[in-house]
Amino acid sequence: MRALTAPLELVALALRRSIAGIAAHPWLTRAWIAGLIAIALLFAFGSTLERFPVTSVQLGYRGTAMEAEYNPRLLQPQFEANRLLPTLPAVPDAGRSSATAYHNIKVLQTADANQFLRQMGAFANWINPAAGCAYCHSLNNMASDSLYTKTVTRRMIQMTREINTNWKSHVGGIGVTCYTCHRGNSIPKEVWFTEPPPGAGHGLAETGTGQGGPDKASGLTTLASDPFTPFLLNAMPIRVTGTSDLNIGNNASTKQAEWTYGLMMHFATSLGVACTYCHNTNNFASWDQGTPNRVPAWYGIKMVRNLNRNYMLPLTDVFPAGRKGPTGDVAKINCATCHQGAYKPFYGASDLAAYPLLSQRNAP
Amino acid sequence: MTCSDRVRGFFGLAAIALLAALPVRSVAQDKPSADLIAKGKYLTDMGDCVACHAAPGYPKFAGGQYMQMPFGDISTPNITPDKETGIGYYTDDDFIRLMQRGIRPNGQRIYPAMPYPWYATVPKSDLLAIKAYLFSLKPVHAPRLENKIWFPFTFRAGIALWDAVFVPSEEFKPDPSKSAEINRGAYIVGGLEHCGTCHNHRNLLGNSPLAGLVEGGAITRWYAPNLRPDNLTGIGRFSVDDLVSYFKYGHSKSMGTVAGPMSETVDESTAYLTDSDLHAISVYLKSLPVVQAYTPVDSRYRQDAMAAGRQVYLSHCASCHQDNGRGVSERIPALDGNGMVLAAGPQDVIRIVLGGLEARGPYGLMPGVGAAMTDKEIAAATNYVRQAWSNRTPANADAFLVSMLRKDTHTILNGSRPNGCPPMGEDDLAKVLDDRSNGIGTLLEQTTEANLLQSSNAIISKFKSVAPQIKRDQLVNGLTVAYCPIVEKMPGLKPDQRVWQLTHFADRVYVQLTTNGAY
Amino acid sequence: MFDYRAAFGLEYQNLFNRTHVAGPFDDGPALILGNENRRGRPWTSILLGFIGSAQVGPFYLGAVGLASIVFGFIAFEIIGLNMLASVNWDPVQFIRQLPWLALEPPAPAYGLHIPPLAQGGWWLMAGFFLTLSILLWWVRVYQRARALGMGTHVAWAFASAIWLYLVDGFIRPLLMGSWGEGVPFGIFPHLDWTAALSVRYGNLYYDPFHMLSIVFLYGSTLLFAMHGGTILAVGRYWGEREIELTTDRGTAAERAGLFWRWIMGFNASYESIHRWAWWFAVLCTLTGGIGILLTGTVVDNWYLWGVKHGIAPMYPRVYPMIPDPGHLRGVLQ
Repeated sequence: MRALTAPLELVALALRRSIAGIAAHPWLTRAWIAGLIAIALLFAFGSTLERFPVTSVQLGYRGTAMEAEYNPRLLQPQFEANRLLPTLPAVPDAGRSSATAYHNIKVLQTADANQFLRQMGAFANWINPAAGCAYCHSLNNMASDSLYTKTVTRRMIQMTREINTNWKSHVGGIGVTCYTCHRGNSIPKEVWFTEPPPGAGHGLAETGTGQGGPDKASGLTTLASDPFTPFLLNAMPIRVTGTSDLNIGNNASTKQAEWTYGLMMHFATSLGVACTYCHNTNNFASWDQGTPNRVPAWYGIKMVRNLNRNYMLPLTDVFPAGRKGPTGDVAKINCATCHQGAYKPFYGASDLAAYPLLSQRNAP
Repeated sequence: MTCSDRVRGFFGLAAIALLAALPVRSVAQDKPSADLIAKGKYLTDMGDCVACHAAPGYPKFAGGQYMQMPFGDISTPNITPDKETGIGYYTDDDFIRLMQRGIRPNGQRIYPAMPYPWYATVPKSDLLAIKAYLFSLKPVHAPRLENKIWFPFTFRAGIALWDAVFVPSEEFKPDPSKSAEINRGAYIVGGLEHCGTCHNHRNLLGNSPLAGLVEGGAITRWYAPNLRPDNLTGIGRFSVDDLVSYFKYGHSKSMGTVAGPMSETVDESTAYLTDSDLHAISVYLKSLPVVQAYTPVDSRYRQDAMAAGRQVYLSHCASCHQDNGRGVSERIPALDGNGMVLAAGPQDVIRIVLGGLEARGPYGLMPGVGAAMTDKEIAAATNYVRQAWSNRTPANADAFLVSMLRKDTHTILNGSRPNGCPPMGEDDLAKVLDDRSNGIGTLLEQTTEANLLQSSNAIISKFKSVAPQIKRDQLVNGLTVAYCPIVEKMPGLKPDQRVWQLTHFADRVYVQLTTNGAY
Repeated sequence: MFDYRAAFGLEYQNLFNRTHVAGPFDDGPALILGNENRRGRPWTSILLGFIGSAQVGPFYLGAVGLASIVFGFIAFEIIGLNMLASVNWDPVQFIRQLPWLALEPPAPAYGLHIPPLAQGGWWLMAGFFLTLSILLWWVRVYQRARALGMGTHVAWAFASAIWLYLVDGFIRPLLMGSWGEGVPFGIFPHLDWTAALSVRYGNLYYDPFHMLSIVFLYGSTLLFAMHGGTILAVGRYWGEREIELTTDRGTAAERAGLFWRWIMGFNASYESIHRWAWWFAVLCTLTGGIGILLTGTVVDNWYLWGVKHGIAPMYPRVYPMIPDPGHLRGVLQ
């Protein structure tokens, strides 16, 4: 034991000598302490303080700390990264429908042929601009369905229309286009796959609990690595907080609370907001104490769940092997898929009006 | 792709300054026969002289092109029979000494950017036919541009030594044990066609027996594949007919299309050779001993490389080349078993991904998809296609290599055009576009992303009535070049959006032509 | 030995102990029958001398201490190896992700049943051995105090901490009928659990016992600062010899007392200040444990409980009425 600590003891001896030397001069001692304090302050300020200005927006009753802090300097690059593409110029109608002009039109058949082509051009820009038409169409025969991407695109057009017509409760007048999620990527940057279920780890050790790692999905906490499967695909209860003072039968566990919390962290990171954007944190569950922003968010959960079940899941077999998740499931939608860090996609900018084919109701 | 690229970077030797004023001598000449001149023209094409000896904007054979070497730029000289600035004062012996030994009439050794190590095997009679042809051309007064060689390399020390070791001392002698056709092929490949300049494994070693005859080599940041008849790593699986078609048209059913420096070789040289000579070349190459360019890889690493690259492949490649890598017959080349994909080096795949490929024959234009991809993505996709399906190359592409090649790849299709849009050629297509009466030029100018599809339809149908003789690939490539300045001028587009618009247009033209609008 | 204090009088403005006592080693009093021998030959350490007594050892192990260390080691290994397994036995990832790694309690569905090892069984086992180890350590603390003829104050303060530990990991899960209510092992995981518990039960800040616990926690730090500061400040008058000064007040005690009377009109005595400290520390975990014990078992939403009992305000509405859309549709999800 003594031998092991001997080198440290030597260091300590030297330290003691030097301290003794310093202590011999009161001013040296004070300079030394002042230096330590300066380093501590520098570290504290340097690592935590943000350069001004910071804008504070009050979101609730005074004194409740319901506010959003923004730094315009840091927000500017965000704005730049969330810009719409230039809108395609309008084209005159051809006077005949796409179905009469072209073969094998299944979704946009009632569209005017010219508007149809303009929309096709926009799709190319939105989804895979480098590959262009060729990403979905066989260049040998544009009408052929030989590429899986074409099948997927048809369904995605229907999904976009579904969102824009039936989910105004969430998207309001802003609506979505393909670009809202795709932003020039053939697979939107933010999608999710179901993780192998808890307890699916191998062997005797406790692995794969769905918790206990830096979980990107829930804002780098350890709350839940996949808070999506239970809430955005299945309809597990999200509400866990008690609604009465004494327990009158709320069986939600603390673990459930962790999963809900994980989902909420995903909300916050996806939208670039804090809890107080929707909630008064003195009582998260209370609608009355929260903000109206919580209402579209509530419909958003419903919407995403509906889209994942009715539009994504049925495409599972269409996607080739490389496009699926670890359990062979299809890529699915969450808040970040569209929002991508903005409280409203593109900070509320919309060019949906320029693409009216996407806001028509789906044929029943 | 220029000729200068082709030679760039593979002779790591000192260069000679060719600045000295040349003495002017008069040379007595007999009038050569028309047959000799015709033979000379054929051989000149075979030697692909014009590739280097004519810069854009220069008359043919007037030189003026800078060859970019690792140690500076060498200008190609004027080889028209101009007495002052060309080779008009060369005697027959002067010409032969230059072609076979690389020594100018004034005794100066020339830099082996000129493939004299290959021409050394060409019989004097053939060289004199070339001279007869060159001397039949109209003399052009074009003084040689100044070389820009860095100081220490301006000394020619070492070239004589290099010549002594790596330049064959004898002219070609037929091997009596082989057929006449094989001998003919050997003569072309090892002589005027100088295939080994790029395809030799150790192309630093000239045309010597040490150079690894046509075993494939890296050159000017491309990779010239192994031409030995190995089944996987060479040309073993291609038939003689495939090879002939490839040399003649730049594409064949099982080999896909030509790309890179080889496409220039095809257009300027092999396309002019007779079928029997092309046959001879192919038979000769197939008769060479098998050399495996690399050991096929089928390791665990292969699986990893595929996992990383598959996503990228699906996003950027699979829609045309298909998930199974087989492409579309006579439309999109297969990647499975593709000769360039299976080269020992990954440069070709990376450069094509970065720069795209123009249309050729029935094959469509490939957009410069790499412009929108990261270096890492391109490296992953390259390793994927080189190891997927039946391909088994080493996974030797990495992001650094991609970043190096990206700096070097400037095409109209990836939008990196330091010199702006290329000029239009002078052909039928340019004439049609210049003729304002047919309205095609106007249509083209009014083509925006919004009406791209309608507009390209209209342009193609007009072309069909105005100039039906223009071939499909010419039309696709030509219209792309013609549309380039129009896209350049469009307001409010980001650089990558301009690239997309141009390639979407090119795609559309191609689709319209292949499907006749039947969709 | 050179008397630095006499020479400079700046002794206790240093960060570390300057006085390192180095005399003949003292084994302490003889032990009565039933005790083991002490282990190891004592030695002095300059390093430790900076922060405490320079003499290291001898060490008293004993059967209880040995058992406690063995059980603690078992718990430590169970937790560590499960964490290592969760990063697929990759030592690099183990280090990188260590703050996030967890050994989680069983899913709530298992209730108080014993789950398979891989699904919470290890957590139960680690908890069992850790609890055993802690309890045995408590016994050891109690026994050694008795053996030295001391009071058992430290043991009971420790017991208060054990109370909070047992409430969190054992008593409350037992009352709630689910091991899943227990605290995960892990650095961030147990913090995230705390946050989730607060959200689930309507904000623990409104739990009056939580409030008390916080008062005692912050109070402890305040007292610690006041006391530590005072003693260091009178160090130049041998003020650290507290017990002597308690019975025989010297210059140091007089000045310290005077100081606080001048400052706030009242001063703790050398004896009472330690009672303050002991009680604040003990009450911190004691009240905390009560607060957690009531959470979920009795109270489901502390904020609403607080509003009902007049300790929390119901803030006025700032926005127009926001109806719960779940109620509009008759679905609560």
